Amino acid sequence: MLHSYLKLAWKVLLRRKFFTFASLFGVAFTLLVLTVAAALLDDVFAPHPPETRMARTLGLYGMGMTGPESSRTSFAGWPFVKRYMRDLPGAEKVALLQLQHEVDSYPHGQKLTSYLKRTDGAFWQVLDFHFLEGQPFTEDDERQARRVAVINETTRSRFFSNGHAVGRTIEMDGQRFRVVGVVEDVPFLRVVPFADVWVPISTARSDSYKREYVGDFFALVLADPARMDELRREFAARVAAARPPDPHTFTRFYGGLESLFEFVSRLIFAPHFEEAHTGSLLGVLAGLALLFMLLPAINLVNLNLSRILERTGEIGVRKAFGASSWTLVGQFVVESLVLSLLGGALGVLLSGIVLWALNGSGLIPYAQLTLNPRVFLWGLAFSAAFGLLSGVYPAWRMSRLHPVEALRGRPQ
Amino acid sequence: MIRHLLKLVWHRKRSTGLLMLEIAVSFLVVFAVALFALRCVANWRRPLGFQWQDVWVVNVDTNASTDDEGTAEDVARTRQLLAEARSLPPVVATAGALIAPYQIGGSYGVLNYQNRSARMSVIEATDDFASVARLHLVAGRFFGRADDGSNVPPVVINQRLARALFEGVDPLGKVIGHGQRPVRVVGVIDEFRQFGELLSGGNVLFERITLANADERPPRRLMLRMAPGTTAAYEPELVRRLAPVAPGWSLSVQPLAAMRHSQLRLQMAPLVVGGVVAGFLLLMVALGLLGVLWQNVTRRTRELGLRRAAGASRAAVHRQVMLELVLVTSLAVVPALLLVVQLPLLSLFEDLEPLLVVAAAATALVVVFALTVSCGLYPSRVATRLAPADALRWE
Repeated sequence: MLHSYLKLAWKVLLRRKFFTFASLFGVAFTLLVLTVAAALLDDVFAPHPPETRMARTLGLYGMGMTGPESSRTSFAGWPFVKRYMRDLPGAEKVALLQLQHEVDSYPHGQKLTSYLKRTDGAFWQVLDFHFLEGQPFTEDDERQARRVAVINETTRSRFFSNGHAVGRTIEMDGQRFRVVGVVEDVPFLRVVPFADVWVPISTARSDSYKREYVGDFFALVLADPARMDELRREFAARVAAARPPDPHTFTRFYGGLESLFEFVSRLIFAPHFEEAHTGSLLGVLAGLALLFMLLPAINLVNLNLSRILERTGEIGVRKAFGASSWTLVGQFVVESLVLSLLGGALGVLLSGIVLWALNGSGLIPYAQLTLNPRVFLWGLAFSAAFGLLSGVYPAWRMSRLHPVEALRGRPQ
Repeated sequence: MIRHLLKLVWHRKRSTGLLMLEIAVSFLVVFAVALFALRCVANWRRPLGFQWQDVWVVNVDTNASTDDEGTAEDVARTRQLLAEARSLPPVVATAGALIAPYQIGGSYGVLNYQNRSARMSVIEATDDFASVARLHLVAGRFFGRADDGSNVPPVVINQRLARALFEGVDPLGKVIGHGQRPVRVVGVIDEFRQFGELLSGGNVLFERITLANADERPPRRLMLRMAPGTTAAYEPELVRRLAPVAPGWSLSVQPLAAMRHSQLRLQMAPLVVGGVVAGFLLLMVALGLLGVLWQNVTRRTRELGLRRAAGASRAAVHRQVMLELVLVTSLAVVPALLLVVQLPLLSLFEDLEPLLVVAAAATALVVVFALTVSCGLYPSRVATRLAPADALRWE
């Protein structure tokens, strides 16, 4: 049965070429936009190297202090992490990294701007960088404040035009660092690991970071996946019990261990740290996708209606021979699903081209947007949803035609 | 005639209903993009209030975690940095500020005068800021040495803020509450749109940094007006000369022109993406309309043939089909138009000028009518091409 539906669908598509073209164009374009959006979100939130252990990683991203008159919301502070994140249950490693900032260097008399990120030694164990040469700096390097740096591939080619970089020195922000390792470029959208140059925290030009309980650090905890809940609870209890150093201005801390997606959702919906808001961000994204699909869906419904109206004679015959309304609905829905899956395939193909162009354009530094299986599945789901959305109503309309009227070719 | 056509449309309400919905949604899409674009154009044409050409910004990072407190040493060092920069030949004038134009961030405050209050962006700057940024004074003067003795700190405001607070009263010399401490207005500038040409800008208040008191926040940006024609090749030299004055601080130089460029690019991005997507959406709608109208007209071949047989000319039938289409479009657009008119009344968006809404609605009307009419031309020609006798027999 399905086989003959599919055959029929194919024949119908070939019969009215203009309709087929108009429908395919609409579906393909809609899917193109949705797939590109999905690829961007995937690049921000899904596990990609070097963040391959995301399922086992929680972060302390935003945190703050609050008091009777004022509050300060920012990022994690160094002393806070050192004091309250020791010996957490299930935690294997705790890594500290500073937000990257732009620094200028003038290696050949002309300005090169790079993103510099200060990290500790554990950073290289929690994240999974691929080293092209050399190796990461160690916890000992960090303790001794050795002027060592890991650089990315692009920085290597910008500073050292020929080949190897390990062992050579690089000047950043007025400090000289010895290069110990070179890693593959990390896309700009990976906010946690992204940088051009990574150096030990202790090489900072001032040690004021050691006094700031709320500062500009992220802390990552690599943990046993089975004990994540316990870990979150324990940390929440420690935050609740912790007291800021200056009790007159600030009375308590807020902040918790969470995933990056939870952090971003909270930034958007509850910047004052009430609770996790993951559901609502997903809801907003889904709502935006539906809103965007509205016009293409109406357009496709109109096209499908017109296309089916042409076939009132055929419907009349099938009804006269005893086909039930449900059978006809099934047939038309299969037809519109075939159409939208075809259009979807085309759209995903086109989005591959768009993503490739986006990667090459340099609009997003080091972008590596790809149509990975996850994004592809999203595209498939979008096209199926789209096919159903635009196919069900016309099918239902046609299935209700009176056989006699339909045979005369006169639908209402 | 119109009533008759209305009746015809009413008879096909189920199929035209969806068509009308599509037209209405298209109208809203065009309206949104047009409003955004027109707003950018309108903003672009208004005065910016400062000159970004030949201004370089030195970002000063003291490598302390908070910017809130400075020490006497920080203030003295900033003064030395400014003096050193001023002594370099290509530097024409120097000033310090807490934030430079085209930079995101800054601080905000609320100001009261009698029973009025206004929210504004507060920019702390040194006396020379007006000459470096080439601000346009409308009344009074920029703060300077003359204010050294006064115990009420001087401020300079833009005209927008003056209107919001003093409506009709001369703002010069007025003392207004700013936070806990009062300040005195000594000058009014025409405008200072710190986020650039594309955004409308808001209320702005300049506060004075004297670089004499240890308890004031030292400026985090040095603004240097360079001699015209100074090239980027001078940047390393500038850093080389300034760095020894402030060891331990991180300095980075950026021409204001470069900051403007990247900021404009960032602000244009949503417009470009939205415009491209809307363009494709319209193309899709056009193809869809063409198909649907074609189909509709083909189905009515016999009806239209009957009119021809009864003596109507080809042009008359053509006119009927097009008029029906215009009628359907109008019926679809009216509710969308009513929806859109609410926008300025709702005051969801601050300072959305009614004129812009009208212009955007007009643009959307023109685009949507042009779209439907051009999509209807070919199908209606097809419908009237058949000879009446053939049309009547048509299956």
